[in-house]
Amino acid sequence: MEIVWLLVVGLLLAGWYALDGFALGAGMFLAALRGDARSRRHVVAAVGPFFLANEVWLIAFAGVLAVTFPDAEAALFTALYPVIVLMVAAWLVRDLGMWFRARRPEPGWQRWWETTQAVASLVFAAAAGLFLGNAVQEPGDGVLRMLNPYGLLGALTTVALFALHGTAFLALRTTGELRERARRAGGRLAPAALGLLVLLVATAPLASATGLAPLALVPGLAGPAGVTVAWRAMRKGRDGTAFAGTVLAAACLPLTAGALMAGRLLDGVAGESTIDRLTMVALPILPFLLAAQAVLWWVHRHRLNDRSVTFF
Amino acid sequence: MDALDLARLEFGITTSLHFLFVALTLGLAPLIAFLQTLWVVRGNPLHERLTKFWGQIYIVNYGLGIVSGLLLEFQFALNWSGLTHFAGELFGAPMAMETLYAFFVESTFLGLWIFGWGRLPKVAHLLTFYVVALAAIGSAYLIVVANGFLQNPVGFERAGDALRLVDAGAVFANPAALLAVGHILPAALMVGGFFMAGVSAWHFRRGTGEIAFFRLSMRLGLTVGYVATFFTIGFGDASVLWVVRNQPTKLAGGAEAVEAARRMAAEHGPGDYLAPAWVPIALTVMLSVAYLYVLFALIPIVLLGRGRIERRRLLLGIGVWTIPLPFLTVILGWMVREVGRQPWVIYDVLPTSQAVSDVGAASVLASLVIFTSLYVTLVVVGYLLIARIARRGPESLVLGGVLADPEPVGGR
Repeated sequence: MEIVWLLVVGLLLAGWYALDGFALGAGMFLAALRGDARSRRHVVAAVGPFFLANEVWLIAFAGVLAVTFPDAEAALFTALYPVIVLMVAAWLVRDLGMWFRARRPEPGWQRWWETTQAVASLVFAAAAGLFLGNAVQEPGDGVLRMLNPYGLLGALTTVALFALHGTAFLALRTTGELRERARRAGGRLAPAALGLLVLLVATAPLASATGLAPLALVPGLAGPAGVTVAWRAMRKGRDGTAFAGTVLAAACLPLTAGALMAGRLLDGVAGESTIDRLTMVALPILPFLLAAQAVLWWVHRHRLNDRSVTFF
Repeated sequence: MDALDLARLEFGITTSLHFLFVALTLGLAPLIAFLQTLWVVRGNPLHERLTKFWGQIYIVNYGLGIVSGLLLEFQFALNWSGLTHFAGELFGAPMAMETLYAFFVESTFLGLWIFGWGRLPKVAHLLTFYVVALAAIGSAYLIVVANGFLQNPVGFERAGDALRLVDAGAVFANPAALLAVGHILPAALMVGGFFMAGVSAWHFRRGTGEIAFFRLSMRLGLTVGYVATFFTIGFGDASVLWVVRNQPTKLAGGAEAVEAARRMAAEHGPGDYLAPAWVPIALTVMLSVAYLYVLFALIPIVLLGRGRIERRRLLLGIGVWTIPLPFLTVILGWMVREVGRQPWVIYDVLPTSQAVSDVGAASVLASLVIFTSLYVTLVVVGYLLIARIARRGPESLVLGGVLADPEPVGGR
């Protein structure tokens, strides 16, 4: 049963990377749209319907991890305390930017919260990458130890991958000039993201505390493949394929790290009775949750148009 | 201050401010569900405007509730890992169920509701809000089950250095949880109802002209708030009686408290087991506010008929200026509940000092400073914006707006 819960925890985190990843990437893209208030509004409107449903994945991950792998979580979170504080702080600021932006009409007010959202999205992505990069290593103490080369590589890769993911999402959801800009930006980002991701996967056996886990090869290879597919599709203007590629790549990032860490996580698993009980009460809800999110996607499957509902 | 004090301070500040938003969210949800049902059943456009106006206040408030709640989820792992290790099965399981069952559902369906205006069929759209409101109540229940275990540990046995669940039914039917749910839900309705009435009073006082709109809001808010006051008091009194009997060091005072403290010192080692002296005072203040509402909220209710209240400026002013009162009172309630249980994180089982994580005081201090400043910004700017939406009235509705509209909240 532990294996099932390890998978659930992994899928919740992968779901967050795949979903909030594009929201964070789109948030960063706001910075590229200086002087174009209309496009910035469209970016926010494109993300809007999914925003709430995306970030719950990370909360669910933290909540489930705490119960199913309490000791592994405590060890990880205590060792990486500053990274988590940075991540949660950036998360709060990103959300404030989203919630506050449209609540006043002044252009200065909106620009301020858009900039805030862009910067905080970048920091949030970087902190999430720093967390993964450090988590696969032997946990150590001290802020400076967290800024080790592999941790920084993780941060950089996550930022590049989320930025690419964001452009793929915007190309899929918008029309006209904004779509073209997103596609061009995606085309330029793709090689950088691919290079970083390959480097991150290739150096993983050196950094990993548990050496190489054969299972990590699957997501480790699928991730770069996803970026490659997205790169080609973006050049040909096939937005759907490009987005599918970046979804795969984003989801593979935590799965690779998770496969490397699986042994250590399983050592810190909760008692058998906890796992059994949680399996009875919590597992049946998962299909329903996925269905609710699928309905949300179905309702908002169209490209943005004048009739699209906005709130943020 | 050491890591323990700092971690306690951080938890106190963040939960109190988070609960400001939670209380209003919980209290407004049933009122909005009622208004939208009226609209779907009767098709009166006034009810649609009412739903949208109160709905957009609700959403912003809900959003700030999420933002302020994010840290709480992580705080247990960051600052209180001793608690998750020791009681993960009893305390963590309801918390995890809350994130999955209630919060995940609530957020996804709220997204469907906000962005489903004009897209979903009317009845399906209404049902999404029912799911949101029910999930909010479920969320409150599960959180209070987790908290109730800390107040009144039941259904467990010790297994080594951790607790093991033996009776799940006892945990979920814990009187410390059920009494609290019975108290918190009507208290939230007081917050929501008197907020709705207070905002309506502001509009009458300013003569903004939306007579029918705010007449209905005022009626609904005052009636629900007033009726809820009696339930709040009833369950509050029952809780106090229960606490005096089961947590003697919290409120009892006198010989019983001293006797209980002596027993704890004998069993768990020396320490200060009596709750601070101001806890009963806070309780008295809370009770006084509730009785003030019982006495004086009757006046506007009597005047509700035929719009007589709408010209009484003094009364309307009181309605506006007392909007913060229920908010402050619910925070006092949590302080009594949480500070009163100290120095225990799990009453009479696990001292707070053993629940705190093994982290340096400097780390906790840094996170305390960062998050407190973020929370202050969030609360101040957030409530200014909510007040702005409330003041602008139903003429500028953002909820259900589309991309072709001019930038929302335009002008003025």
